[in-house]
Amino acid sequence: MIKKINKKGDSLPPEALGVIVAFLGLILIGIAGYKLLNASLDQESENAKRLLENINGKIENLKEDEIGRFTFRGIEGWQLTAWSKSDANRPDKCFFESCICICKSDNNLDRKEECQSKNGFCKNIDIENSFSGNFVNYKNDLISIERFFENPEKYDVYDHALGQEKYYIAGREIFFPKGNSIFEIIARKSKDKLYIIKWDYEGGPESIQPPLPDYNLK
Amino acid sequence: MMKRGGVDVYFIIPLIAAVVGFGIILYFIMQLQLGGYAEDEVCKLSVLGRATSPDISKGGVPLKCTTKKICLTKGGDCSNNFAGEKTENFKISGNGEEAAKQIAKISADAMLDCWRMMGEGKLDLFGGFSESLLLDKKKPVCVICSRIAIDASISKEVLEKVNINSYMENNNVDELGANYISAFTSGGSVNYAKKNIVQDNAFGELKDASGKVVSFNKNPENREMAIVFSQIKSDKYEEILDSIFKYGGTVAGLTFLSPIGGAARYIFLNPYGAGLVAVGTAGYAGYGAYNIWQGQLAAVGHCGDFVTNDEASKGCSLMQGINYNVKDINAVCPQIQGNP
Repeated sequence: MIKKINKKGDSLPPEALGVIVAFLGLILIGIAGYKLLNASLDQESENAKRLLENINGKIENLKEDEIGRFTFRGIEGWQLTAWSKSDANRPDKCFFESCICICKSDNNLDRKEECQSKNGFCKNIDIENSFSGNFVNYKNDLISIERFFENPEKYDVYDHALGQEKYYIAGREIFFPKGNSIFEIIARKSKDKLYIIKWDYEGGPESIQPPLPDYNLK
Repeated sequence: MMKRGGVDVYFIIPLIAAVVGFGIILYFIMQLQLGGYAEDEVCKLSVLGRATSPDISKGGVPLKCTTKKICLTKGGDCSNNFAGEKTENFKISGNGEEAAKQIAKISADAMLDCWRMMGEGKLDLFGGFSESLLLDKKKPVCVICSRIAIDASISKEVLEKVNINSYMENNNVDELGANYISAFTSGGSVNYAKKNIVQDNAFGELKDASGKVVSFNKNPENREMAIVFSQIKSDKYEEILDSIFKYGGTVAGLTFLSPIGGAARYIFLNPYGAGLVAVGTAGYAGYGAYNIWQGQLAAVGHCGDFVTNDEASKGCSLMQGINYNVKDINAVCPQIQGNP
């Protein structure tokens, strides 16, 4: 049989073996590369889900009207947003509830779309109004966390031009810091309201940072 | 007759089958996702995977090291620190010295585990391919191996008695029959170089290279420490030291030792900003002390050539316990890898 085939000249040129092995090798390398890339991306998503669980766990553990100060490790390029039940613009993933979401930032999408995409993870919370934002202390004037939380609505001024307000809330999203480094949020929940605030440590020199009193903080 | 030099199709077919079979087996192994391994083993494998991969693919090998959350308690659950997170609880028994010793042992073990998991500081985990990981090569990169929280059920008096450095010097690692310091230096050094530890409390007044005082959060009620591994690469030790001063002032007060022939050799750093005092040639491994748990906190470092498949490179790896808060961690770790 072999002889018959060989007689007909069905043997391959000597280079064929190298070409075939190289081709198969390239396919395997391609598969391995694809797997590696996916593993990296999956890890980022897994970390985002884990962070969401951690934040939610801390909030659930808060007693009513207690102020909690929590440290987390961020995920660069992702952000945290809280949505109220009444907010018509909240992602569909939240269904009919308030929710907190961690979503990958995408310049081509608005906040809702970012969170509605596969790179957005949401957790429902059983509090009617939930709010997230970055507290910026623009002028050299101290304000305590307690004072802020006495009347937080007062500071609900979005995207104010610098210099117009002493304190203001910038944006609804809490962007995680570069380099996956550590950040801190301060949260307070009452029966019908949840505030998740990032005290902006980059908004000015160290000297104007608000004092963080030890009492009444978790 | 077969053409001279030609390849028989009956040779090719089993060869292709073998290669495809290998690919299929490899695929199934990858599908296992290492799920059967403990987290430590997964971390070790990922560290080795990254360190031994060619530079071109290293960036794609995720570092699957998850921060352990260790709760030390007499009956609580560390919910102030770890609510919503998976924790390992260690029940501390006894009072005073006994409880303090247990805390020191768990902390020392966590440090040693971290050091070993990260290849004892000798593997290049973040260099060469740092751009693909969106890392700034000039800044240190950290992995937070574990966070250790002490529950409120353990008194402040107990915390004040914890001395991790002393524990590591005077107690043996069970499986080695040698003390922790020896374990950190692979048997190179067995004691601290006491005369080079400038001050017991390095928080007192550390200065960076420009003379600016580096201050750290001295929250007296801090009850959470992170065991942090960090690494920075450079061909020049001076640059590494400069970065350590800049980003990790905590390290500046430490004494670095070079274990050669069992004898500790030093000094590596001047802790008051005068820069390099003396540099040996064989690489460095060292210890130092600064405050934690209102007592002391140990740190270990290794500087020298990294073991790598690619071009040899120099750098420093450091491991230290740091108060777990924004200011202290970010001062040392501008970039963090691994899973939270």
